[in-house]
Amino acid sequence: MKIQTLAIIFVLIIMPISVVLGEYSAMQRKIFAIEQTYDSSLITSTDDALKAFQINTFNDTTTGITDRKMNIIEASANAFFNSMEQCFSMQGYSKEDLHSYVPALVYTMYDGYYIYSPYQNITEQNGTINLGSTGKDYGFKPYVYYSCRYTSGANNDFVITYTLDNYITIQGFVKGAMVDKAGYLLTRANAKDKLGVFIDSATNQVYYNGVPIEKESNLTENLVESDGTTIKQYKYIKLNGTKYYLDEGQEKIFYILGGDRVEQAIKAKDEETYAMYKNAIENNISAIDYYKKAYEFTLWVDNNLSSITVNNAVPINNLQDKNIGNIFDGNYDSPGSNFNTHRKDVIRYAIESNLSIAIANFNNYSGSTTDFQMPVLKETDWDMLQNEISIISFLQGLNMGGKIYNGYTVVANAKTEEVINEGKIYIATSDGYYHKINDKHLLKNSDYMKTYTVKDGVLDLDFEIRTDGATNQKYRNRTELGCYTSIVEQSNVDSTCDSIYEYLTKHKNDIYENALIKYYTALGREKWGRRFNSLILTSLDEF
Amino acid sequence: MNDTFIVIIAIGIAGILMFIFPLMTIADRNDDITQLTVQTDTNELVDGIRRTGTLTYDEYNSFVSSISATGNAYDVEIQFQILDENPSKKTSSATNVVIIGENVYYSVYTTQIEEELNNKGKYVLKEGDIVSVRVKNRSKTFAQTLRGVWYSVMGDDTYIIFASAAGTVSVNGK
Repeated sequence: MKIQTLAIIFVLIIMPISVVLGEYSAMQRKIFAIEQTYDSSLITSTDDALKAFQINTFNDTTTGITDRKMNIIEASANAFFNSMEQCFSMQGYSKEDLHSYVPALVYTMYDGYYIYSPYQNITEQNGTINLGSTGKDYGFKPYVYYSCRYTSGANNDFVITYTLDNYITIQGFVKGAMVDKAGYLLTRANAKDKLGVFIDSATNQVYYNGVPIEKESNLTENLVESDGTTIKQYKYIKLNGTKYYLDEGQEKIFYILGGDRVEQAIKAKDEETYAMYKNAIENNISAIDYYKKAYEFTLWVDNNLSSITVNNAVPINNLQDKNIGNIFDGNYDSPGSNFNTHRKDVIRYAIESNLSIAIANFNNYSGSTTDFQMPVLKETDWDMLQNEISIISFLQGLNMGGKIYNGYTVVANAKTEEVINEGKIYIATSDGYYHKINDKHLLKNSDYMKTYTVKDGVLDLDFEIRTDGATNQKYRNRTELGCYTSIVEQSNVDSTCDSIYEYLTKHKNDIYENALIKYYTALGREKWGRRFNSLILTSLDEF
Repeated sequence: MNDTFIVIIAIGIAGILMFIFPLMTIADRNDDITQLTVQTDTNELVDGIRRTGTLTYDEYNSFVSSISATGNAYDVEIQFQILDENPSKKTSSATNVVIIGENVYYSVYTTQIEEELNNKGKYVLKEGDIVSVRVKNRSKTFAQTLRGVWYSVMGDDTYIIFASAAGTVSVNGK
């Protein structure tokens, strides 16, 4: 056979292989491009849902109320599907079509979460619930708490509901007695210069991590006046999530509801109530109360639950970290403490267990041939879910031409007053800027501190631009600007520590003391002032 | 003489068809696979930064190692657009609600980012910052070299592997 013939035969063999391989790799690239488009569409839609949630919660003073929160979450879910419809319109999917590919939408909250998915127990027009319905409806399933049951002997059978921070609720029988308690857990110190809370019995002074906690007398913020053009400073106090302002000119106390000022107490009508609020505002002991009550609650927990381990949890098999020892071992502040490890484990299990069931059940509703299963979430995503209020969205079953799409995304809601953690408190200084606590400007030996002074500790959200509901004007509660080296660029912040907690404990003696005092006072004040559902109701009598 | 010339030409053509053509085809497919790999790695890097608000030295090194494992050298261009909200928060007076500016972004680029990673071990971003990464091959791939021989049209700065990804950071980095 001539070499030319051999060459032609070779080409005849190679050519189709080459063409097929080329087509295959072209198809893979096409699938990859489609997958990227779907990924970005899912991220965009989830971000839109979060923005809708943020806008509604940020400018609404009633969002802590459960019914109102449900409305806001439903609006957010609606925004998600509207956005999905926009993103997928070019692929020919309608909003209704997309419902068949979204097995679940999850809103993780402070102490539990909502799952948005289809269900069949539809409420009929006459109000009865039709359990045998063959139709389906989409909506939120009942709220699931991050709770865990513990049993130990015959006398201990109780449930603890955890939250995204150090607040817990204990309900059930402890040592044979019925208990319904809630509070913050903080490490108790045995001396004022040690880490944790210490109460000096001689002076009644409260210390946290060696820093004295102060009473605040001049806590002010800006509000837009009814003319819509002027801004006025008011003294205020935050109680159960509501800010009460003191109008000294008109001698009244008011709060803001839906953009309107609602009078809480007027001196001319009820002098006693007015005086009570005025005293509370001008002698704000929220921070002191936070640390004191946390100390008392922790003392009770240490005395009654110190022997509880993960082995007492029901069902234990589903928890990951089983060998951490006693959960309530007295150390609660460190991110790596037994308590925090177990708390995060319970949160993870609570989300994972119900969510995997909801997604698996979606097979009964979708009408799609896809076998819906919960994807494995990345550890970084779990870290986000265990620390922040977040939205998880799933999109599964879309055909990409040779492959079925299976994606999810998690976005965190940083603009919320529900979760107050160490990173959310900033320090305002006399030069008109606010700083992170780990800004090197706030160190004792910095030149900055020789020139400027610390004003107070402020919640990060108070620096955000808000819209006044009555006048539709933009304003900010605090007028300071973000420090360019610690807020905007973050070039002058400590980078050696993994968390603010670690930084504060490691560099306790290096940080300007007044900054630390203002910081811990603000942290306590904001935690104590947040809205509680069933929990601590701050009484004005305490002030 | 005439037959010999034709045989030589035929051997030449046969050689091209039997060796060069399959080689080019395989090299092209290899580039396709490399393109997919680099694009996937780039997406993962950007997605990680977007989700955590942080780029660590280890993550960056791992990314560079991963794309280098494809056998090519790459130019990696990273750009962080840092959100500065201050202009939109400035007001003309303490008692006036008029807002005088809008949010602005300023950019930091690869060398600045690499310097920060070398010095501090991580680059921390905040919610609202924008991250974008572009990768292109600096060395010629085998397919490019082959094509260069044939067509002699490949310039030094021409690339064939290109990946890019961008996203908005959704959390404050720690």
